[in-house]
Amino acid sequence: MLSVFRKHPAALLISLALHALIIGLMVVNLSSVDKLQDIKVGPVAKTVQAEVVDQQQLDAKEKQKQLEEKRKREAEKKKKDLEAKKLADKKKKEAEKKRKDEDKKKAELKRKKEAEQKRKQEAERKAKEKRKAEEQRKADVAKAAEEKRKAEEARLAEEKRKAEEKRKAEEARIAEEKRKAEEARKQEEERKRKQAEERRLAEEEQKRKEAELKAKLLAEENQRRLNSLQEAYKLAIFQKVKRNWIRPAGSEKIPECWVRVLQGPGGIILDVTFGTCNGSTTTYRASIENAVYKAEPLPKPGDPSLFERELNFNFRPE
Amino acid sequence: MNNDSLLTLVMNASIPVQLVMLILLVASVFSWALMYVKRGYIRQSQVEAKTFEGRFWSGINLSDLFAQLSVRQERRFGLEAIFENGFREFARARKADLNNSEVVRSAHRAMKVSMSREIELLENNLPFLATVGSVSPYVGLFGTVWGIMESFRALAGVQQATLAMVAPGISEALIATAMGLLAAIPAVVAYNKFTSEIDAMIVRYENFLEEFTGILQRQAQSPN
Repeated sequence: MLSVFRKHPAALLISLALHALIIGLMVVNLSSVDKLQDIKVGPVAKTVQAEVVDQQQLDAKEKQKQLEEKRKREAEKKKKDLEAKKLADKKKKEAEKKRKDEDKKKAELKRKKEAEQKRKQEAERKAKEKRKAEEQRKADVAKAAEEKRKAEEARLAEEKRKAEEKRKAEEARIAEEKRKAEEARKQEEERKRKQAEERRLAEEEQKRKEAELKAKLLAEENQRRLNSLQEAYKLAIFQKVKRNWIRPAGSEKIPECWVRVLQGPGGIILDVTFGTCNGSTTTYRASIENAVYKAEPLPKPGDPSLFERELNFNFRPE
Repeated sequence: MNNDSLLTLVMNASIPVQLVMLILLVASVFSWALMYVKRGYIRQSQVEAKTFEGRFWSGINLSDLFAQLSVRQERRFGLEAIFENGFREFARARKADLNNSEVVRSAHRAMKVSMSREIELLENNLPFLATVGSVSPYVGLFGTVWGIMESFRALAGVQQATLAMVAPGISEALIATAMGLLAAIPAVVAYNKFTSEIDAMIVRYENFLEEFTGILQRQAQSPN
């Protein structure tokens, strides 16, 4: 089976494209359906929680004891809180002092840094000015040299150009002379060629006329032959049908009948029908049909091109 | 879970189910490609048979027709092939000076062989379509059953079972069945169509063979 696809790779490609299209459509379609569903879905039902009620009662005595303990615990807690607060205040003050010292130090450092930066900037600016002056000087020198070189070059180029122009003019003159000579020669040749051509054309015309005449004669001859062959073919068929015809008993008047015969290759009969057939009886027509079928296979034409699939002939016994 | 597209459903499926889906997709692609090729060939054969029958019954000389066919370069198929083989055998047997019934019988035999070759070409690869059509629903069903099995197994481990826990798994699994049916339906339709068309072609070939044998018989009897 794979050999089939090796022979028709396009089929596999078409099939793949079709599947990709269908899957793509489905994906798009389904996602839009999903969006609709999103809206419809309500909140999920909550599970119910069961509560257990404790029904035990406490003793009155026990209850009082518990209360006592509770009060004690609370007093202790208050004392502890107070102590903790004092400690926290002390710590806070210390931290404040430390922070102030640090700020002072930082300010000092900053001032120093700024002074350093200013000094640096000054130095940089001076260096820059110096560099600029140096560059200007160098550029001046280079410019002068360049101008000199250019002037020299221009002079040389001018000289060269003049020499070139002279040479070109000389060349152009020579070329012109050559061209003129060439043209004259060509014209001469053209004239000669034309004359030859005319002669040749005249000869060809003559020949063609002769050939045409010959072909015409031949075609006429051929047509005459075919015509006679066709007549002979038709006659042969008619004669064969007539030979095979048996006169039906008890028929006095024999009318003429137009018979149409369809024949296949090799002269076999495909169909027989009747055209105008005035005053004929069924037996008479049947006798003609029998005669046609008996004449099978029908005679062949002298030339295969004359074969006729449909034959029409007038059947006259006399 | 609700905003899943078809693609994520496929991606989430378990490996065996994905494998089943892949097999079905490949089968579908191949069967469509085969349908395309087959349809082209059958159409071509029908057109060929029609034009050749028209030419044959137009009353052309049989040896002329044979000469025209033999000159042509491309491969001959269908009625042309049957006619050519039959007529060649007829001419050869006639040269060998066999008697008339022998000549016709050998031509008939040659045409039979040629016809069975043509039929084989027409029916070539059709069984693949039949297989896809009958087997792919089962393959898809297997994928589905497997997917549902998996989702029920996952369900066994939890205390409170809700429908929301199994539904996505089953939905994933059902895609396999859908794909199986999608692959099978076109294949079955195409298979039935092709077999009926090929049967019609076979009847046509047989009719031509018998008619042509009759003509050869008549020609063998007549002199020349």
